[in-house]
Amino acid sequence: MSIDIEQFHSVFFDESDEHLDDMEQLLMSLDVEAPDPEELNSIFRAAHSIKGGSGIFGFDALMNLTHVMENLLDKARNNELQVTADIVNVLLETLDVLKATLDAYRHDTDVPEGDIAQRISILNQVIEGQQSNSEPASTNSTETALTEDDGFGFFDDESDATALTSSDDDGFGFFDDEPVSDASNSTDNDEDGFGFFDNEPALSTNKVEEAQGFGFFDEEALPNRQNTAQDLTTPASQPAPSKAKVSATKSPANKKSPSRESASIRVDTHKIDAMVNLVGELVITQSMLSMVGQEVDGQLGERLQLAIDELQRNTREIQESVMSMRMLPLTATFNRFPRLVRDLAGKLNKQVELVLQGGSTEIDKSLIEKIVDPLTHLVRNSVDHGIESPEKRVAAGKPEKGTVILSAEQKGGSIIISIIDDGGGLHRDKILEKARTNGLAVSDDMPDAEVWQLIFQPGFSTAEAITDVSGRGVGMDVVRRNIESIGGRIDIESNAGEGSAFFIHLPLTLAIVDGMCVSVGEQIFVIPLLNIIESFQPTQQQLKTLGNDTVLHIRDQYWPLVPLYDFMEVQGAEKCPTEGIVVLIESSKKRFGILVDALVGQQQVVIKSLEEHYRKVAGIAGATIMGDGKVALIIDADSIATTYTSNQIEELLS
Amino acid sequence: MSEAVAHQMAVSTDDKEYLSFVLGEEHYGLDITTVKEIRGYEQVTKIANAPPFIKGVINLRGDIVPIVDLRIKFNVGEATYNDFTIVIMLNIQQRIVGIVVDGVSDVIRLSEEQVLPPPEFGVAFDSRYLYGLADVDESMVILVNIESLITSDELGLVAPESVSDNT
Repeated sequence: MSIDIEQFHSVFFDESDEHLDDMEQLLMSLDVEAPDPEELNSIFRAAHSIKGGSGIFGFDALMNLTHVMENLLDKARNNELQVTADIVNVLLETLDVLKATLDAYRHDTDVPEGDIAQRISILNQVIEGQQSNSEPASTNSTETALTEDDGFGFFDDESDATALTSSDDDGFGFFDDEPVSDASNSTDNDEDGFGFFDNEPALSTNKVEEAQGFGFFDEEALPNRQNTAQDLTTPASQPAPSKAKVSATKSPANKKSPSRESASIRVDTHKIDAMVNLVGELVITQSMLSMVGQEVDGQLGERLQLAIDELQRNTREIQESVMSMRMLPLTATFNRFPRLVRDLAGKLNKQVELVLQGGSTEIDKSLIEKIVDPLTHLVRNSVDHGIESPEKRVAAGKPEKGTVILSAEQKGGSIIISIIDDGGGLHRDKILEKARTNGLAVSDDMPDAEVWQLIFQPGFSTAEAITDVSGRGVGMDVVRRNIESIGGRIDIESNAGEGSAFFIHLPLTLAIVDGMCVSVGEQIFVIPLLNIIESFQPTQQQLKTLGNDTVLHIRDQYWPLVPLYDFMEVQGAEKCPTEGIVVLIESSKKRFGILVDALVGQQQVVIKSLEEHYRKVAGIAGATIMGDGKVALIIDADSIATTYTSNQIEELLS
Repeated sequence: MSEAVAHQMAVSTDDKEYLSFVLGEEHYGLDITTVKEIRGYEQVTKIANAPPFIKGVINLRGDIVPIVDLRIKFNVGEATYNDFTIVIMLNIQQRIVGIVVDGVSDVIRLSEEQVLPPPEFGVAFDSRYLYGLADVDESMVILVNIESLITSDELGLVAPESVSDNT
């Protein structure tokens, strides 16, 4: 049993994370003056779900705290308590404690009992503080509070059914068309949109009964409810207060459908990956088939060709939709920032407005996970170092309130996430000064773009690197490394006094890369387009010899030349540079030319791991399968740059 | 060993089945549970900086799979590639590896008692990679411990750290 239940832990943690994020987001957007009852309900529902789940799994600390929080929220949504900015703050702080607690359970570390106890008492104070405004009955004991919560729950109230007619009405309103056996699922289904306990309703029911005193899912009550459902005609003296509750709970059930019904199901990413693989195979089979089809003549051939064309269309569509399964909107990532900016601005006594744009832009799930940290860092930097204090802003003739724009858009095969602030901008002089003290080779007439790139140097990563105002150096090297590790890059634009902008270019997905196929001897290699600057056939004048190696001299710059046939040990390749093609490559730090025989064409390729069945190979990022079913290797420009250790490269780049 | 005895043995659950294959002049056998499939040799994509016995990689229904020519590795027979060249695809520790052999002959069923200890020398394979010897139809079959061979450092198919991951 205990093993069985543990397999749901990670799902619970994931869901609770989502609920906490939802709550935070809703709290942030809550209009304190005139709180939207629907929003309050949503917040309440999220708290309720976490409470229910933590009860089932025996995470008592989590349950206790959410329980008190739920009490407060319940009063708020029943208009028994006026929500104030202070209360929102208290709730937000409680969310932080909840997050910490959740993490503690997740990582099996010590639960912050002290914090929890403190939060509980603060929340209780808030509830007590407003007691005078509300009816005495509603606050006299936890028990009452509980039944009130339950009154909301779609089935919880059944335990009270015999005691309170009003609850009967509530329950009835939702239940008449729900099968009884679904009772244990209904909360999850309704609130989350995905069935978590679907496969083991009995388990969760039992566990709840074991773990908890108060009768969630009370089975005995079920027939009871049915009776009430059948007893439609029973007048059921409806006390006035319950009506308000009915309408309050009913409306979310109806109204929430448009937003919540766009619900999702959880699918193991491995399953999707397996599907991506299979579709890749299908594409190859399809192209093999069309090759065979061209050999069939006559009327039959024509018909075959038509069918193959149809197949081609369908396979392409399947491929696209399978690929899109891995894609998630950035909204969830973006939504954590309003809170961050609010807290930070409050702490720094600044006024900052965060504008979110393009949250619906979709990006590969694996990228989302990796982009969060760098983004957080950049947004924090923008608020901390970019936006000036209100006094300074007014002095500079700007509005008191600074603006940070976080936006995402898709441009072709890549996603651009930008963080733009209207703050003071980067300080060129100070960066150059710092670079000099760090012993970096800089000159005063460096172009701006190169100066800005200096802040990504590891040496800049101390808080006192420059002044507080423009010291955007806190771990920027880590930011860049993180972004590059997922195949992206970061650009900066900045104008002193007007603000600065950071642009993160990311590939749409890690599974696919836009590549240039090049041939070397009999083999085909794929060079990621992201790395390619240009390609051309060199003339004899552009080639210089340096020791035993050849370098390219293009536009007053010397480029090391890496012959791919040499690096990849390919036989029968073109060895004379003027007969082949040079592809100029820019990797994260180095620029060089790669000599290939010819360009074959540009296409999107699905990246396959070489390491899965073999091992890492220097200079190779992975492999892909071409239309004819053959394997082509994908070039890893960074790895080539570091591996191809000719003295000339060292000399030229140092 | 008579047919009758072999048949009798086959009923026993302790028996193990081996796929016998030919390298040069010798017959070898490997645990059939490691065999994923048997295919003909197809054109491989060469990998840089790999030893000569690693022919390259092929596409096995979406998986990029390395192909090892044991004839080159153990210097037996002649490494020729024609329509009759066989690749045995093995599935070992969740990895797929193809080995090139001269031919596949039979599936043999052997009991524990029929397996004799391997000789210390005289076989192309290092005795570390041998499981034992067996007489089948009056010829000798060398039973290879294919798992230890494929995951060995000597073959270099598996990066050292991932071996420890898998075990």
